[in-house]
Amino acid sequence: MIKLLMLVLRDHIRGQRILVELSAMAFTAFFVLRNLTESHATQATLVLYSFLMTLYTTSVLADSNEQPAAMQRILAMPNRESLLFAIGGSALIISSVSYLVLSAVGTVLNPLAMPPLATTFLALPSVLLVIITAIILMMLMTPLIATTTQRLIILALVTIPIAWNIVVTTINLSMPQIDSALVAALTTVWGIMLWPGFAVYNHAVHPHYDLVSIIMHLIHAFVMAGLYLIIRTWFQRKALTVA
Amino acid sequence: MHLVRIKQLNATNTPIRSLSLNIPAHICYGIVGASGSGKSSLLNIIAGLHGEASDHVLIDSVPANRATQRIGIVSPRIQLPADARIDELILNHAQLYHTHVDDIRSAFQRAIRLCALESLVQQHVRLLSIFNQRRVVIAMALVQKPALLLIDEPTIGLTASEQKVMIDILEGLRDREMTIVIASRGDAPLDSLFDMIGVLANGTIIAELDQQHIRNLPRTILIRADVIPTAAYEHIVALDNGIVVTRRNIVLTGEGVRALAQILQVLLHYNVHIFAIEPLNHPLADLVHQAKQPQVLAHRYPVRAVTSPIDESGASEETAL
Repeated sequence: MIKLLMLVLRDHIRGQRILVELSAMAFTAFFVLRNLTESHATQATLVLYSFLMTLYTTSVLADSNEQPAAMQRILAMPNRESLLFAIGGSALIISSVSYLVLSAVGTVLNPLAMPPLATTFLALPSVLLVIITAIILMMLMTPLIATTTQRLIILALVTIPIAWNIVVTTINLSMPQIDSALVAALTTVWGIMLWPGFAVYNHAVHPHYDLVSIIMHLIHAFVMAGLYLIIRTWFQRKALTVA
Repeated sequence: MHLVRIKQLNATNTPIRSLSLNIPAHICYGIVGASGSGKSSLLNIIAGLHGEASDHVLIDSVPANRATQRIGIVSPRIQLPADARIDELILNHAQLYHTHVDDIRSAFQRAIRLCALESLVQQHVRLLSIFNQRRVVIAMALVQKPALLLIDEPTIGLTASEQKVMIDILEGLRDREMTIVIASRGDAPLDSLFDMIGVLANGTIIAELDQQHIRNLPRTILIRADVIPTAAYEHIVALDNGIVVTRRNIVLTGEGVRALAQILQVLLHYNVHIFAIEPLNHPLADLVHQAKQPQVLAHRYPVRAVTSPIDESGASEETAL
């Protein structure tokens, strides 16, 4: 499995797809981090950069490993899950390294705006969880794992709750007869699913540890574990193609 | 003893329907069928790549998706990375299967030798012809010493001389304690490789020919059938110069007789009734019985395309018989 991960990583680098990550890092460092004056804004930029970059990297890795030449390797593995770990692991390595490199470059370019070293270290577990969240969300939406219908459902499950305030207003205006208990139930479900996620993101920007924040991290980790099980089930059933 | 066992297989999102197939160990088995008959889908399923259907394929009594490490697959769809070197590609692939350095090296040398790639190992993929790239893909499949090697359309897109070399390479792979399954559209040169042929039409094996039948195909075969639609006519005459098609008869001569299996499945595809295959003792003659039961035939091989029959002027060709 480690060999497969190394091959996936090497393909990404040799195929020069890594240049996009490097360019994005350079752009963020020279045009965003250099002009910031406040450490929280810098930390927020770093976390947002990591989240978006992980979405991109995971998508590219999944797409490039769907090609028959790469898919041929899956035959060598004892199970399909190895490919998921190889793609997810590669995305995690690339995103984590680029986060650390960007932090280092930011320290050189604009040391006064960088968060203290203690804050950076405290934020690392939350940043890691944010990166894993991006990997899992994007894996759920790649053609390698999910069918078109499944991807649309996932997209709706992510976007509708985020825009829930607008959706609820629209529902109340257009369908006032709809049962308010249903709306309240959905609001609760979305809250359980998304609130810990936002809390983890917020914690990555303003790191502090107390009982509530630890519980939030655990709930979010459980939600992610549940989503990973869905990814695994879908991928096991997926009809792959080499010939 | 059978290496591959498939019983009444139905696979979602593929043409495969009610397919049963047993492939004996250590033979070269040909799956012959027209485009869209399900050849590539069947190879993917046997390779354990179809999530659900592969559960019902047994490789040495183990479901195919748990036996993938014993399976090698070669396909023209595999596009190698242009900037990679040949030795690097094959060695990297070997590393996935072997842990010991000596094993990796010996598997590499063996694959290079079997595919006659000695002079190309230092080259980059972008400098290779399609033919040479295909040999590299075969070498990659061989480094694991597979018990089952699946090859899709090995000669497609190659020149006549390249086809000959490819067949020599495949011939060299036989008798190496490996079962080889080759899917093809009925290319005549490949027939010399096959110990058995399964004729695939509309996602199911409609007939099997063993080695004796393949070697003893008569010099001339006459198929008497119902009116042959234009699309089927064009499909059949394009197969070989030794095929003459009239409105209701098909005569196969010379190399054309090797296309018999494919012609039959084209006729079944277009729901054309076959009245007789002469000589009457031909192994595929039992299809005539199916052709005499249109309701059974229509159920098993539903018509996919509606085509117009050859116009009356085409009947004048019948005088050629």
